[in-house]
Amino acid sequence: MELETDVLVIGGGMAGLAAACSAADAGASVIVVRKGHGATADSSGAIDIAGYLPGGNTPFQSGREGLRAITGLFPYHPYSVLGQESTETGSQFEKALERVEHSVNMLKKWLSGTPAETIGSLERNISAVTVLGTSKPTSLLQKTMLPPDWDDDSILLFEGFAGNPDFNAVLAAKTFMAERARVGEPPKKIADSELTLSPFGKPYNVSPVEIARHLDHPGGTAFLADSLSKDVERTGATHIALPPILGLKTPAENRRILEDRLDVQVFELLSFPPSVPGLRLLRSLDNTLAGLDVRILEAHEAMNYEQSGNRIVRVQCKTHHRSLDILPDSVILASGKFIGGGITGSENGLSERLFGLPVVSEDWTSTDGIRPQRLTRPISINSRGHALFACGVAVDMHLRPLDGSGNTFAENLFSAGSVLAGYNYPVEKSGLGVALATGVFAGTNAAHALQEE
Amino acid sequence: MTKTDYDVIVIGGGSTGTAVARDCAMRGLSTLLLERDDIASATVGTCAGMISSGLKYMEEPDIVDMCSAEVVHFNHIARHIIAKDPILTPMLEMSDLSTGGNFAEEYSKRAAERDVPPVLFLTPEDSLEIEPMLNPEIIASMYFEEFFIDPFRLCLLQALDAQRHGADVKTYTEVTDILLEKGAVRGVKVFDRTTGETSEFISSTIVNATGPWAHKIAALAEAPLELRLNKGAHVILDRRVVNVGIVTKAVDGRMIYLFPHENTVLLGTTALDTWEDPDTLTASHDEIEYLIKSMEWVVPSIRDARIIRTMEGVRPLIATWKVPEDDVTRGYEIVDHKTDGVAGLFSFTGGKLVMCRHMAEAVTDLVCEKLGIESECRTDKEPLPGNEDDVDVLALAEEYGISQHTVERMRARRGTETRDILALTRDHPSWKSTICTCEPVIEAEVRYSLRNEFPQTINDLRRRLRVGTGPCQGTFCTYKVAAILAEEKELDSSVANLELLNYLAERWKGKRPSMRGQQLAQEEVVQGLYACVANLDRVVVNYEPGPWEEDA
Repeated sequence: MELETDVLVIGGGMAGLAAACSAADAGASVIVVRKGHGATADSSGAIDIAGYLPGGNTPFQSGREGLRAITGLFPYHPYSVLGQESTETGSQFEKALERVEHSVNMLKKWLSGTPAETIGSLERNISAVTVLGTSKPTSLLQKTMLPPDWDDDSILLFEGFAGNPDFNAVLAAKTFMAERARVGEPPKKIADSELTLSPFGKPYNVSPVEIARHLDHPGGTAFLADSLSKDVERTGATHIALPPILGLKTPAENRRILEDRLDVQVFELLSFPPSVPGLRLLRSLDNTLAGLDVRILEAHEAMNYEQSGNRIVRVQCKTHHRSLDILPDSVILASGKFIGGGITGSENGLSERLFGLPVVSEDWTSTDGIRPQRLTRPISINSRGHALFACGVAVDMHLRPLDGSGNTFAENLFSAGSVLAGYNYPVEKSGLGVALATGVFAGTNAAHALQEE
Repeated sequence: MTKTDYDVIVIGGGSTGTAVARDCAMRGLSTLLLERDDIASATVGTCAGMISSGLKYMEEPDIVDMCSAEVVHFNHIARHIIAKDPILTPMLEMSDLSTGGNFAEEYSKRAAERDVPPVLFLTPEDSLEIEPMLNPEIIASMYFEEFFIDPFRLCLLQALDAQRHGADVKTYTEVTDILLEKGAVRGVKVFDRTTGETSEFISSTIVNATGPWAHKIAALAEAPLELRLNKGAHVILDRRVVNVGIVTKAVDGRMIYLFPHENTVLLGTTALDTWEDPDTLTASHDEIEYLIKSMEWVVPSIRDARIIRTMEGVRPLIATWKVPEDDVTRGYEIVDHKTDGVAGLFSFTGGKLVMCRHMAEAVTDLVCEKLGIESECRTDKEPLPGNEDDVDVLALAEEYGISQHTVERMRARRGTETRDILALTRDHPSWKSTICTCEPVIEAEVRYSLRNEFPQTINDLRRRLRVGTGPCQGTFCTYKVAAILAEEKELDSSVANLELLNYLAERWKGKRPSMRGQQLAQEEVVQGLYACVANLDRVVVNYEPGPWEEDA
C-alpha cells in the first residue's frame, strides 16, 4: 500500500507532534508514523526550556536567561541553531528567543481548553515540586501542577495513597521541608498523610492512572474530597500536594471540586512514569492534530527509505502483518534518542537508525567507532551529565541533518527533538522545550519547502 | 553494657567467615563476627552460586570427594535456597569430545550420592531439544546436573543462625589493628563505619576469613601471608537466553559457562591475575568481549540479549606461581600463624563456595583444640533458618491474593519465613504492593528484612531481597526502597536521598562497562527520572564518590 502526503513526520512524541501541528497549521497535509507512545507520554508533563548550564548549580531565573546563556556559550546547541538565521554577530539570542517564544505560544494555543492546558512563560522559571519532595526549575506546567503561593501561615499537606508506592508522602514532605528551611522560605509547616481509597477493591498495587480514571468518573472526586476532609481537619492544611492523579479528562474541574469542598489549594507533583500529566499532554496533542486533519498511524515503524537525487521520495513503514509505503514531499525525523529508538548504539559506536546518519557528540565531534562507555562519566547522576545523552545528528540552519562530510543529507529531510545532538537535557532541564521549539521550526520549514517548489 | 570479650573473633562476612561464626557459635563458643562492609558484599557476592561437584578440578580426587559430600550437606541444611540446574557441554569438534572422558568418569562415580544421573552423552538432536538456542552445528553434547545456591542468602542465613546461637554479628565494622601480647593475639581494634567510633574487642583467638584481603589482615599482626589474587568477571544478560546451563571452551581453551540465574543468565568467568584493590575493580571491555566471543560459538544468538551489567570479584587463590590460574589447586589451606610468632591467629587461603562449611569445621576444630573445648560439629546436620519445613506456595498465593510467581520467588529466598512475611500483610494490606517489579519483591518483605536482617543500605537490601537486580537494574524501585528505608530507620531526608544516589552509583558501576544496545535506552530512563525530573544531580550536594569512581 502507498500513501502520498506533503509532510511525513517520523515519531509521535513532543517534537513530532509539534512539527505536525505547525506543518498542518501552515496548510500542509501531514502523516505521523509512531512506533509506540514514546518518551513524552512518560515525561512529568513539565515543559522545561532551560534550567541550568551543564555543571552549573545556579538555576536560571527564566527561560529567557537560559537561552541567552546557552546561545552565548554553545554554538552547536539546538537553541543556537534556531538563532542562526541572521548573520549578524550577537543576534543569535534574539532570533532563538523569538522562535522559542513563538513555539511556546503555539503550544499554549494547541493545549488551550484541553486537559493539559499549560501556563508559564519565558519570563520566569517555576520551581516545580516532584514526588520525591525535590524542586526543579521549569518554564511551563499544566495548570493543575503549578505550586500555589504560600505564606508563613500556610500548612502544606503531602497526601499519599495506600498501596501506591510511587509516592511516599513521608519522605517527600521531609525532603521538601528541609529545602524550605534551608532557603528560609515558606511554607513553614508541612504535614503528611496517607489515604486508603476503598473503591479500588484492593489497597495494594494501586496505579496513579487507576486513581486518575476514578476521579474522572461522576462522584469520584467528591468521594476523594470526603476522604481527604479528615486529614485536612486534623492537620489544618491550607494547601495539599498530591501525586499527579487529578484525572486524565477533567483535571481542572476535579481540582476545583476538591478546592471548593475542602477550602484548600490543591496542586499535583511532578512524577516518574507512569505519568498522568505525560499521558494528558500526549492525548491532548493527539486531539489537536485530529482537529487539524493530521493522520497518526499508530504502531508503525519507519524501516527503510528511497532517495532520488537529493530528496527522500519514499519511506517504508512496517506494522503488524503488513507494510506501508509513504511518498512524502518532506520528511521530519523526530524519532527520539535511545528511548525512542532514533539513535542506536553497539560496542562499535552510535548511529542514527533509519537514514544511517552520522552521530556526533555535544560539540558536533564525530562519535564514529566510539564505544558508548567512553561517552559516559564514572558517576551516574552528576550535574555535568554524560556526553552520551547529548549525542545525535548534526543539522544545518534549517534543521536538516548533515552527512559525514558536513553537507545536507537530503534537501527535504528535517529533524527535531532528541534525535538532535548538542544538548544534554537531563542536566540542562531543557528536554521538552528543545523538542517543542525544534519541532515547530522543523514543521514550518518543511511546509515552507513545499511552497517553494 | 557492650560485650567486649570473646572466645573467638571471626573477621570477614563472606561465605567462609559466616560459616565459621555459625560453627563456633553452635559449639558454644562466645563468638564475634566482624565485617567491614555488609554480609556477602565481596567475592562471594560476585560468584555464580554453583556449589560445584568439582567440575573444574577433576585432577584433584580428594577435593572432588569433599565437594560432592558438601553438596549433599547443603541439600540437607539449605535446600530452600538451592536449585538444581541441568548443564550441557556442547561439542563442535572431535577434539572437544576427547576431553570429556575423564570428567564424565569422575563425575559419574559420585553422582549417586548427590541423587543426580551419571553424565550422559547426547546426540545433536537431543541436545537441541533440551536447549533450542544451541548452535545446530554441534556434533554432540555432555549432559550433567549441578546445584546452585543463593550465595547472599547462604551467607546471611549462616550469620543469622550464628546470632541465634549467641554470636554477635557486626557489619560496617572494620578491623584497623590486631592487638598483640607476648607472641600471641590479644584482640582487635575496630572502626565503626556507621558511627565513626573506634573500639577494641578482646579475644585470644582470631580467624582471618577475609578472602582477598587476608594478607592485609595478617599484616596487621605482622604475620606474613601470600595469596595469588585472581580477578573474575561475569556478564549478566537481561533474560534467560538459555534455560539450561552451558559449559564450553573459551577463546584461549579455558572453560567458561552460561548459567540461567533467576530471571537472567550469568556469563563467566574471566581469570586475570590482579594486584589492584578489589574495591576499585570494574570489568574491562576485553573481559566482556572475551566472554561473549567465546560463548557465541555454541549460543549464536547471545548478542541479541541486552547486557544489563557486569560483576567482578577477586579469588583469593593459594599462592602457587608460574602456572596458569586453572592449574592452581582449588583446595584451601589454614595457616596457623603460631609458626610466625603470632599464636591464636588462623588465616584462610584458597577455597571455593562449596567448601565453606568444610573450611569452617576444620578451623573450628583447631580453635576448639586450642581452647581445650570438646564439642562436635553439627553444621552439616541442623538446617539453616527457613529450611525447617515445606512451604505450600500455591496455597499461600491463594490465601493472600498474591501471584504464585511472587510467592514462589519469595519462597526461594525465605523458605518457611514466607509465611511470617505474608502474615504481616494482614495488618498492613498495602504491604502487598510490588516494590521491585522485575524480581518481584513486595513491600512486606522489604519491611521484614529491615526489621530482622540488619541491612544498613539499599545495596544491603539488594543482597537480601534481590531488589534492583533485574532487567531495569533498580530504575523503578530505588526511590521506592529509599522511602521505605528512610521510614523504617527514621533517616533524615538528606541521608535518604544520598542513600538513593549511592545505590544508583553502585548499579552504574556494573552497567557502565558494558553499555550498548537497548541498555542505552534503559540508561536514558535512569537519567530522565533521577536527573531530569527529580533534579537529584543538583539537589544532593554531599555525594562522595566510591573507590571505583576516584578518577571522576
